[in-house]
Amino acid sequence: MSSDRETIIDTSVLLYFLLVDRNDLLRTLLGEPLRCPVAVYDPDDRSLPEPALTRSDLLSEMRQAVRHYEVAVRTGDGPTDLLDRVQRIDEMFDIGTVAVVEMADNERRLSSRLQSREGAVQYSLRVPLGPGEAACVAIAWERKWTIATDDEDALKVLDQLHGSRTYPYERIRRLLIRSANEELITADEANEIHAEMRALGFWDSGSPFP
Amino acid sequence: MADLHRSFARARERARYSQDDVGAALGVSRAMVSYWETGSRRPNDRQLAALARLYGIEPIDLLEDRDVDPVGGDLTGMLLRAETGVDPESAPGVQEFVQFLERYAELSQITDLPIRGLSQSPFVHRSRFTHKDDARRKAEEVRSHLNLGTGPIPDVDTVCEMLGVTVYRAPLGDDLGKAPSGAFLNHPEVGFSILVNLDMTPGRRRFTVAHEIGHALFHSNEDRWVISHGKSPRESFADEFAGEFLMPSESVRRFVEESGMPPRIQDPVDVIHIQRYFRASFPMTLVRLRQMNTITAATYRELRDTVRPVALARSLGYAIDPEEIEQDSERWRIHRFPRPFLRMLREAVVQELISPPTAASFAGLSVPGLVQILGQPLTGAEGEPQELTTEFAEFEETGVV
Repeated sequence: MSSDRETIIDTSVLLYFLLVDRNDLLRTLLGEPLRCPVAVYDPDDRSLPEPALTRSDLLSEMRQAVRHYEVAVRTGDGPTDLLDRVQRIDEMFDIGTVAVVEMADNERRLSSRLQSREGAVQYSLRVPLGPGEAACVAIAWERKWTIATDDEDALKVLDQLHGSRTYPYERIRRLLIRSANEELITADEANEIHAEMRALGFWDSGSPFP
Repeated sequence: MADLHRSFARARERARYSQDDVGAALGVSRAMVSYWETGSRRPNDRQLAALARLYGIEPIDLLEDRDVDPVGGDLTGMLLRAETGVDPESAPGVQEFVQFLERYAELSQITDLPIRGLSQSPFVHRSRFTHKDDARRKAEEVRSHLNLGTGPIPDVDTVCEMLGVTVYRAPLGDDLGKAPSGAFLNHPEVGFSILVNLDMTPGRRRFTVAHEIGHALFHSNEDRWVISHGKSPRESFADEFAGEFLMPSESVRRFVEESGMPPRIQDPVDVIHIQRYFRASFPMTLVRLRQMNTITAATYRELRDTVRPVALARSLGYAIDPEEIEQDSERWRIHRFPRPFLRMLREAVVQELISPPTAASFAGLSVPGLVQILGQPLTGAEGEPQELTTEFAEFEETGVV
């Protein structure tokens, strides 16, 4: 069951649900289409010429992830199923289950500020946010949307914008708990999915149902 | 943001790029760059971030049309203007190098971990080391200083770590007639730093690292930076240094003798065995053997023109690195960074000074790329066995030799 409030989704959440092949949970919990900023997913960057495609700084964060797994497969360092799963992002966009949110001018300004050193100082960050996180924070804040992210730095900024109160957010662990509570999966399955994500490098060690 | 397009043009002009350069760097047409600058179209947010990065400024500087110095105090421009005739397509790689060095310095401050970079050569500098004999002697001196003996060097990156030299890799173009093979820069915070062109074979990259070490140790008192391109006495010195450093004459002679090869080599199979033993490129091996008078001029020409070294090596049972056939700069997304930087980045995440996604963006890595760094031991950049790393484990404790 999706909430009424729109949600903007960051790379970490989108990526790990794709990698474990459970983007169905995201779609059910957050509603379709799943919305993310251009810095997280840009359908246009798949048609960049090859030299540009090899430069990660020119790509959206999801395309960087796709290229990472493409290289892993090419060099024999990774299985093809992970690549297949992460590549589904393009198909999801094409059929309308993922939508790209363009920022308005005020959101662009906030996003750019969060990517700057002075923004980092203002929000007590060691380094500025990356483009995807900054865009998610800006869109969430300006539109009063929920943010779905596992980036502590992004949540820290939103809480400060919100006057030191916890800004509405979703994170992977919380989404898995919701999935179990809404009987989309069992608690054991939630823990298993989380463990699978952990095996793929997800950094949050707290399991949904300890 | 009504005048945003004017800001784009001004920022580009300040960074001294043409619209063609920007289009090539971002993978769009020159016409599109022109549209952005006239306001008929707008770059999306991904493109805006890429533009700012190319110009060495922050996106907020673009949006607010700030007249700020590029990150690195225009080091990139300085490097590229230092030499004429360098391929403009190398500019993004050079810029990436300079921006990496700035971030490395920043990360060192954040983590409170020192870089241990060498900023002054411990070797005697005489004005303009250019003679071949100087180069050979200096290569022996550096090997002796590092207790490397006379054998092959499994991992040039470990040698650089021992010296306190930072190595970064970026694609600079595969036409070495125009593109530089590498560069040296004495960075104010990081110290001696080397850029290696990824669009070259693995053997050639090793040679470039050694070549740039030669510039760093013996030209840095006079030159704060060197772009390795074209011919000059300084370049010849560095070539000679690199040849002797990677394939010491004494060691080559001993290998030839102990392997039962004739003193005058003619058989291409022998050349391949020597090449593989020293992990050198085939052309470098031939040149070294010719310099040592181990092959005649006629044999040199014949082998140069007729041997297919990769196919021959494969037929002899040697493992072939796919990059010997076709270079793949994307394989180097992680290993383009020096290991001390990756260790520092991992430390910053482990200590929760930076969140993993922020750390990924900071380093210009994908989230899975960052995760790979967090989860795996940092193996040799060239993928070699780690004997040397183990042998010099003490270095990890003590820092610069």
